[in-house]
Amino acid sequence: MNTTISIGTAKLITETLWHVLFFPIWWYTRGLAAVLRFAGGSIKNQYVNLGLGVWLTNLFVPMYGINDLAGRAISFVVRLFMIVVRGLALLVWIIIIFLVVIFYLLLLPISVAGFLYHFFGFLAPSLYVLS
Amino acid sequence: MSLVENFSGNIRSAVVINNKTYSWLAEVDRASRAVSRLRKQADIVMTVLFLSLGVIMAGIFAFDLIVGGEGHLLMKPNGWLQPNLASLSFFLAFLCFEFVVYRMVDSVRKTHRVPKRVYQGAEPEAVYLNVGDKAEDLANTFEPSARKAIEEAFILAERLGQAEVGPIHIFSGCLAIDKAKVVLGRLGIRFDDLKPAIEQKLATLPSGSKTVLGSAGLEIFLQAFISAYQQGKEEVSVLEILQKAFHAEPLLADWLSAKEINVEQFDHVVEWVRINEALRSRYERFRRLALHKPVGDMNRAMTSVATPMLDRVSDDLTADAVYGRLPLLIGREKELAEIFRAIEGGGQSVVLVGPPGVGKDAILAGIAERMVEENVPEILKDKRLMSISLSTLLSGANPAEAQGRLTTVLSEVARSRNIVLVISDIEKITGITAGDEHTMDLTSILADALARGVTFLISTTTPEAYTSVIENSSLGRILQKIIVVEPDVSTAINILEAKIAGLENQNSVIFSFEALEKCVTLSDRYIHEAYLPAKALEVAKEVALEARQKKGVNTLVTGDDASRVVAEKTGIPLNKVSEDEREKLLNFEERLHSRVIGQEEAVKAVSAALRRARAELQSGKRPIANFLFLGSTGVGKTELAKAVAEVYFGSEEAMLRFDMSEYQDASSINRLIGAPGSKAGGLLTEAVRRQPFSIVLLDELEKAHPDILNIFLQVMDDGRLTDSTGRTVDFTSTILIATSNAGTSYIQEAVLAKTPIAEIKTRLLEQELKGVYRPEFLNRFDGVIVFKPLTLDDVRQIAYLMIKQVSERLEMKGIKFRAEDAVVEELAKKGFDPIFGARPLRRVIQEDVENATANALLTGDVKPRDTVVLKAAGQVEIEKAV
Repeated sequence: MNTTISIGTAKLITETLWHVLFFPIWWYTRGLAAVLRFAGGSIKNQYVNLGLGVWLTNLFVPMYGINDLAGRAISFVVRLFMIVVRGLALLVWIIIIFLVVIFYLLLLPISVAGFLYHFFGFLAPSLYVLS
Repeated sequence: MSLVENFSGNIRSAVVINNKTYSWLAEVDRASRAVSRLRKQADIVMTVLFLSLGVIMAGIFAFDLIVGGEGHLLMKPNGWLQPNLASLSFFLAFLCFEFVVYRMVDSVRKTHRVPKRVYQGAEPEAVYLNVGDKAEDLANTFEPSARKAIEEAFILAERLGQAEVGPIHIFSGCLAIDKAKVVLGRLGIRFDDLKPAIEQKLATLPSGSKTVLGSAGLEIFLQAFISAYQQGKEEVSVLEILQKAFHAEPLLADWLSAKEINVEQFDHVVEWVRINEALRSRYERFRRLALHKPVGDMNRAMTSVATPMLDRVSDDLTADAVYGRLPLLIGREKELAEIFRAIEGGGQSVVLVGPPGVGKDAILAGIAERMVEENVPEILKDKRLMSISLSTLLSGANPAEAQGRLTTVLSEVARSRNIVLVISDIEKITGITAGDEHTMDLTSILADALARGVTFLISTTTPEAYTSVIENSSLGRILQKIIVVEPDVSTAINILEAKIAGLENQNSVIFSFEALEKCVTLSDRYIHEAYLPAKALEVAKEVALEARQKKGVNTLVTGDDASRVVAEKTGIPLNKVSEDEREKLLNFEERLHSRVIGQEEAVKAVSAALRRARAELQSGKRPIANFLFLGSTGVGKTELAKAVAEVYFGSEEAMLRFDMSEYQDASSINRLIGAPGSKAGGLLTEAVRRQPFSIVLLDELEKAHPDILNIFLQVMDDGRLTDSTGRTVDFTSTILIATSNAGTSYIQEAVLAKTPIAEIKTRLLEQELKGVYRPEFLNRFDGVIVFKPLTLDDVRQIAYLMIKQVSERLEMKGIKFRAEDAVVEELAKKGFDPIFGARPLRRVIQEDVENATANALLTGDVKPRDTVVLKAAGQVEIEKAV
């Protein structure tokens, strides 16, 4: 039993170290995959929310059951307008999501760079002075 | 399939699915558990550590900024380019938070899942692993609570110092988990009930210094894994383990059977818990999708128009579904597919034909639900399902106005184009005609609109209404018939399992499986007017309400509660045989003899048959018993039938008597089961339908027409009879007794010649009755019972009984009555006739006793509390009360 525990503890320490080392790799593999999944889902959800698919498939269908020529023409224009507006809304959303992804991509290198820059610029000289 | 045959250090059983090998590799012993606990704790410590560090750094950043105020470096242009403490803590805080996010997201990630079932893929295959063979670890596919159960099993085995973890440990381990506790709870047993038995079994298991997973235990895990795979689950839950452990240990089944719970019931309860889990996730998915469905007039494509008249006379089923007002549909995939095929194929309207209560409205709700999810054929997408309420459409309107309203509705539907119409009980719109001159049926208006392809209609009706009203009308040609059959008992149990949670919440009671099963099986067997699952649900509602009223809230509803409710509804005693009744049954002969004198053989045979019936040893597909009573007139045949009615069914009234001499020609069948085309039903079928728990007495059967005997042939065989209206009447709670005088003269002769009764019976069956009844008819009787002619001694006892009856009648007037023994002897001799049995005695009693007392009463000599004493030669003496 003691062997199991000592082997287990050794394994545990390696694992913990591995967790720390694996962090940046995870960020750009599984982590990124999760963020992209979220981004895709969010855009799709917004597409359904805005009903863009429904508006597109019904582009030539008259609204409110008005079947005469004028009705059809007005419908077409209104639908086109709605599609443009909703399309723009979706585009804005896509841009926001895109920015979130970019932010995620840059977050880690910026944090690391910032930390190193200030660590060596500020803390290291102070330590040097102290020593 | 036994996966494990040999389990040693070198060979380990495994299962192959889709070319991947799975086996149980995880160590669950004490040390491994300690390590895994340590690992979990280390993970938590690390996360907390980084989180705290992050918070502290963020704090330093904020503090430095506040203290620095306006003069802080960061407030100056390009100040952040100069190394400083605030920026350092800022970036460090970020790094810490990023690390925490990474740990948290990564720890909830599921690394392994039960493989997905591939369509027409290979079935799981059992293999053995040798040392060095690679395999996936099953343990990773077990959900956390299942792992916990297995740990508990190991802890139990280790605590008892046992060598192997086997089924009984695993079963006990599972019971630490709530989901498994629910299974026991639904079965109506507590863990404490099982505990002694489990401990007893555990004590017999071999001990060992090191506890390992036994081969039977490994087999359970593999089977549980395969079960999860076959159900298409992502993870193996504790339910699979519990179920497989239960199947692996025969003793468990034995213990449960001592509590009257069989293996199928156990499996059913496991299924019940699964159904509820599935329903919950299905409901969550439905709520998410329902967010996109509009509930007003307007569809998402904005093509519809306002439909004020339609809105006034109909219910919006899709909106109801969005608001969660409709029940979830269980099963019925076949019917839904058929409906969608009809609509998709040719835009055809349909009519669901099924008896009331089988779930036609539930199917409509199911369609609404699928429309909300937009999980329907293209043609039904972005549409509203509107159910026209015929009562609203027709109320306060004369036929002409009703026609007008329907036309308006249909034109609104036509213009809006996003409406699918529903009309429940469509037969109600027929037969409404307008005015005297311009008579027009609403059906033709509707049929016309449907024929023009304005919309589709999903309607419902009953089979009778379909044949009589719809089939040959203009609608019948347009509507495609879809038959909705009554679900079988097992499906009905599943439906009830899904529905019972609502009832439980409403009444604050908990249903045991036995109660639920009884609601279905008993209503299926004894309630014939209605159909499953509605009638079972109806019973369940009453049972829940009664349990709450009688036992209070938060009680367990048992099978007995359900039996009691059905018994009250049907008048059939269904509860377990009680102590009181047990005594009654055991002393049945004695009780019958208090009315019937002599005829030991007959009384014994009848009593034995009834005891068998009440102990539920009979098949349930035939009447409780079928008897043929043979013997001359006045020997007690009818009296015995009456006595059985009184003793077994509680009252003489529970006897349906048919004098078969009234049914001598073939056409009299119509009186028994109803004339073709009539809706009244027959005398026999209606009587049994109203009073299913009774004796059916067929007097003088030999006089009936042979065709009528054929009807009873079927009753005796199947325990049911279909009347002229097509209704099936249940005879399984009746006792069928036929009496017959056939062969009487032979019986009398044989008895005089002192022939043994067994011999008389054989000769009767083989010769005397041959010309009267067909052999297959005689064979259907559980007992052909020969009544012996009465002896003088019998008649004497009967005389005492009759005197007692006279005395009881006078007692009601407050007058006492007594007869001297010599008088009774005299009466018996006078009334004894070996040919006519006890019949003459009744006349003698009438003439000598009743006449004399009547005279005494009429002369006014007798006052209340006086005693009338009967003396020899019909003399009456009155003893005045003091």
